[in-house]
Amino acid sequence: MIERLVRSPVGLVSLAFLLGLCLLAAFAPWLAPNDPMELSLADRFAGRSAKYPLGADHLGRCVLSRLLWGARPSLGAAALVGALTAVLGFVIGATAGYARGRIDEALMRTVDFVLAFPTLLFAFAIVGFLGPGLDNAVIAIVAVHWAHHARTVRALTLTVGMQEYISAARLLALRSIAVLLRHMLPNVAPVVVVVTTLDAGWILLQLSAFSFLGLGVQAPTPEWGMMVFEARTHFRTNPTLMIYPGTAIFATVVALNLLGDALSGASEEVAQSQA
Amino acid sequence: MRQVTRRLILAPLILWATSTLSFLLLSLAPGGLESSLLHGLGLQPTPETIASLRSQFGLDRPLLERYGEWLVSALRLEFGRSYITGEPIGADFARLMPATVELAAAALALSLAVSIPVGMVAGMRVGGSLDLASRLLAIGVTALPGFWLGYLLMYGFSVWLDLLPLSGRGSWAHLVLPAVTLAAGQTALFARLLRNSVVGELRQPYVRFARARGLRRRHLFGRHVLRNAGLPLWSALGVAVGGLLSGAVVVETVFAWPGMGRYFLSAILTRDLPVVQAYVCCVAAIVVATNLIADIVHAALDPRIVTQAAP
Repeated sequence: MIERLVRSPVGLVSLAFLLGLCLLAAFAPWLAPNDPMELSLADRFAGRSAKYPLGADHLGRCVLSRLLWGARPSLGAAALVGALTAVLGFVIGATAGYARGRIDEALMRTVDFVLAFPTLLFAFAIVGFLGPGLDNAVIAIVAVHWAHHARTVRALTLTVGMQEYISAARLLALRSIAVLLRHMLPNVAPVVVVVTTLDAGWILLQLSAFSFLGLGVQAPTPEWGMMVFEARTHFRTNPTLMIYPGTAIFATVVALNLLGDALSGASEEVAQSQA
Repeated sequence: MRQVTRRLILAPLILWATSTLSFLLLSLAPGGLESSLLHGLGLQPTPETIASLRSQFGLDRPLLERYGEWLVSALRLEFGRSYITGEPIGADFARLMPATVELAAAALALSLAVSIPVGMVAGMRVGGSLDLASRLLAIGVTALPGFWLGYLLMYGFSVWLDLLPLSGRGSWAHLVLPAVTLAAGQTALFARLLRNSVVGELRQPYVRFARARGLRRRHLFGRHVLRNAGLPLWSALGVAVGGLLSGAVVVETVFAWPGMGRYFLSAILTRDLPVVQAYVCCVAAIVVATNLIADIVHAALDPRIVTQAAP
């Protein structure tokens, strides 16, 4: 799959962009020219300068530093949500597909119930009951999103479960957990990776919307959605304050979606060549 | 009709489960009333005020009694009282509902008006300039944060060009920007869906036969292809209504549109749990109803669904 991805220039560029972004986020403490939280009322709305490469915001905080630091909660939370949904979706989907019968029925009716709702509103409501905050926003998005993954994984598990080596493993009286992890997981994992990548952009958008609405990251922590929120009252006079964080979200989501497309294209090619 | 019958049986079940779940969440949420006082009214809760408020909202009575009362009031669309204002929630909903319906309906109409011709033409000429352009646009639009798009449009059309009002609700001009913002993502989705469906439909034998028969293009596309290719749109409509209601929370906040979404958001921020609970049930009812209607229309338009056995 990786060799095929390398042959897709769009996927490769997206991957490079995202890796670069992760590096920027990881090294934010060393790269940022200023403290992202430091107020300097004398420098309110300062233009671009050597001290503030992208200017300063309404409280005189360095925009570039806030963008770099802001990448951490944005990317970190999105990665966390992606990983948690993938794991939860795999565990529940694979259990349902492998166990079949009543367990399958019960789990899939739960999935139907969760999917019957508009995802985002349901997530808002969960934050409503738990209270605003990034941790609760992560819980809420995972709580509504795992069902999509579970359904995909279950369908896949049903197909893989018909293969002879799974019957062989069952005949050898291997424990279910061992069959699932040793034999099922390696076959399901590539699809889970593709689906998770395709989802990651959506997740990042939802998280930024949560922060924008005041339901996710709380001020004064820098985060991209939060930065758009803080810039909103000044956008008539200082539109650039909003352009920077918005562009950051937009570019990251485009890169994630393109990478997801390239990955799913590559995995389809692999599937076809194996068939 | 088995699919539709199944849905008909399932619908009240889903609504009952939702109302029960949201009732339990409200009753079990940690310190709901206390944090509502603190965040919403800025009061420092003392044991006395909490005790008096708990009895005022009937929270000191047994759980089962409150549950029965909640179910009855939800059926009557009353939904109890807000922690913050003390007003009946059903009345607030009735007051705010028209604004949200207006916004969502305008967005839905706009997205259908744009996506149907675009999706058709893109599907007829695969690889053509419109197909490529709409594909690029879809990649862009689906990656745009809705709130950011709202401000960009606001800056372009209200501040820079000074053509449309900045925010609020009033004339038709007020509706334009919020509706466009809300419609953007949905339009891209519909157009791609229809395009792929048209591509699939054009491979069908009946299209080749109609062409061989010398049927005119307009007739072929207008009467036959669009009718079949449009079917997936019906199924997408149920999901779309949920998406529009979710999007409305963001769009109403950006454009200061006085609707349900903004009311819901302020209830979340002030931890006004009865309002959150009522909103969840209302939305569930709307979504279940739209899905049901979409299914029935779909079955009426596509006889294959009726004859096929449900899985």
